[in-house]
Amino acid sequence: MKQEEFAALYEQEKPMYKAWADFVLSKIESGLLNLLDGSKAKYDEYVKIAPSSRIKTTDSLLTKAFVRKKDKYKNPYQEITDKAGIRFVVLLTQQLDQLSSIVDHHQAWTYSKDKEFDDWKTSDPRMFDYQSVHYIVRAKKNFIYQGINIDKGTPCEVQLRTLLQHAYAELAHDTIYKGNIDASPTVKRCFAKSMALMETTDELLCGAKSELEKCANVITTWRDLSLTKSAQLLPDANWIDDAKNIEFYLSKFEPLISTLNFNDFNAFLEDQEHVFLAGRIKKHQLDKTFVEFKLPVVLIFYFLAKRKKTVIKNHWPTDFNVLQIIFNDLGLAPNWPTR
Amino acid sequence: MNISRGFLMAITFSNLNFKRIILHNVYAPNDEGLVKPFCSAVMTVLDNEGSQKLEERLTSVLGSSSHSLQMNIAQDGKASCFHFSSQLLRASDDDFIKDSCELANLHTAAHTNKAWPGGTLIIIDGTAGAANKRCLFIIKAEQQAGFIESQENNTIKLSYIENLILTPQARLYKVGVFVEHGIKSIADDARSKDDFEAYVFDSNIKAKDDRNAAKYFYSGFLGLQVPENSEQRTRDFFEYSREFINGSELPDEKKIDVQQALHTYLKTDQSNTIQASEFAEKYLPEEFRDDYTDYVVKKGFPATAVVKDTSLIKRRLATRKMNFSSEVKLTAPADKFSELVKIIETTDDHTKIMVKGKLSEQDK
Repeated sequence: MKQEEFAALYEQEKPMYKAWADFVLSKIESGLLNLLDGSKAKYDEYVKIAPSSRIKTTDSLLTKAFVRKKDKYKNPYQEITDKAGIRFVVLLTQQLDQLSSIVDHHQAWTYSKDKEFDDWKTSDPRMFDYQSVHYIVRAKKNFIYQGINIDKGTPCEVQLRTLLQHAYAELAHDTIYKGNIDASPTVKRCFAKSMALMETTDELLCGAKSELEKCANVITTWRDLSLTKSAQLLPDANWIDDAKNIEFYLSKFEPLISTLNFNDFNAFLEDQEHVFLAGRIKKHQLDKTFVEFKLPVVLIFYFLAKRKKTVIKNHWPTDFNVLQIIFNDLGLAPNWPTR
Repeated sequence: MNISRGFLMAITFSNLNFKRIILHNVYAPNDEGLVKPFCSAVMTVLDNEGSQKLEERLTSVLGSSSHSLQMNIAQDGKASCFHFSSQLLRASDDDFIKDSCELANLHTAAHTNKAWPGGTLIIIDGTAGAANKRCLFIIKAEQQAGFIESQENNTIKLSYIENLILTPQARLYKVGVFVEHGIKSIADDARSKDDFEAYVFDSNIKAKDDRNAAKYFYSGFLGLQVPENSEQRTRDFFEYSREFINGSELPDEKKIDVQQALHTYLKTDQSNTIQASEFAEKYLPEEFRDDYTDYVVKKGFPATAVVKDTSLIKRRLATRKMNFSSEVKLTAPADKFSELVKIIETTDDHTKIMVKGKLSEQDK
């Protein structure tokens, strides 16, 4: 194919490539949102650079086919698969696995990987080099998307990277890999050192994150429980239900609540012996002496006072008059000097 | 069943609500004999904060883990404290004012020693517990002296006052309470004591050397007596505590220490009462305390105090026994156990022990 014909064909097909890239992007995004319970906040935590689709300019495609890689392809128009491309940048490698799985399982396309995240396993494990997942996804059948016909087999490159890989790639990829500048051994060594550090950093951060989630898990579960139960107990009360006050107390009580279970808490609230709790809390809310009684976590104060009566004083972070009111309601004698 | 031992399940003083409050002053006798009380002619009304604090004073000394004691009602005749108290629960306001003064008179009659201070009787009719059981609380508050500090312009003023009552210092108030747990006798002229439970708090009961000062209040005035089951209760406490310690996840060396502490608590401690929460706070590591008190309370031991009577376990307290997995047994005098027997090393299959003294005799 002559350059002129090649360019003309591409100009004609460009809208199709653009539409296909947009389609793939929207499907991966909705798959991800689904995984994150539809929460936009979680999505923003997850995806660090807003994903976008791009298509190669005609000049860029031409120079790739006829200048830089002119000896590589027999049939360059068919074989160059990154005419359209999209890229997702997430925070950590753990998230890459989840994202890969979305790409792997979508019904609208077939996929192949021309670069795997764990390529090092099959090449030289001692090397520290550019890492990223590159997919080529191809339309399974002819269809129309946003008024544009998309042919079966139309390819789109999907790159999945972490933020650290992205930083490395932005610097290294264009100079060492794509470029035809022969990098000196010193330059290569420097890049390998950075990549080794980034892989290590990623591993440490993944570990840190999972530890964090382990403790946060106890706290978030109790937080959600106190929110639901307080709303059930006194639906008309003006509960101060923002998370940070609840989490403040729960983080102080962590050594205590981690030994107790949720069923015991529910049983405590349903116990006939404690039917008066709603009324007492209501009264303290109306007294307006202590705002603590408007925090949903107050239910957990009562629960802990009952179950951990001898030790709760050692974990109580605020005014002891509040704890004394709670002890009084439950008929427990305080074991600290009172006023 | 083991749980009751002649008692109904003890009430928890949760969910306190006060209905009526009246105050009468009582005095120590003088050289001419008894001094008549000063009875108020109107009831006292407290604001929210005052009421909350008064509740807290009561919970501190009657609540679970407090030093209060469940008692038997011994005097229930027409002139008894029980009789007047039970009548006050359903009395009209006028009768409440008038008859509560009878309680002050009863107190005066029992107040036979000049050395015991006078004070203020606070008589409260209210409810407690999830089931809102009717209760009559009788507080005797002794006066304290102190200073009031106040800032004025550029100075801080101190004024002396003599008649401060009901500070958090529980040493200076005593409480008796009658709780109505049944209403079988409600139609009768005089209520049956079977419908009631009685509790008392008096820091003097705990101290061994001040029995008369305690007795005038709970016995002479309130007409109560220490339940006859103290010796069983004390034995229960000993057994439940041993079970808990042995079955706990305490390290072996710590178990030996805590068993020793149990002997000390029952044998040498000067206190006249025993109490699971007190033992826990004194001798158990923090993370075992609540499990321990829950354990003994589930077994039926009171969450408050009982009078100590070691007569049933005297012999068992005199010696300590250790059993080894190889069926070797060791006994030693309990009071000097830690001096006489030292455990040097323990592994899964042997224990190294150093015994003070020389082998003097052996049975066949």
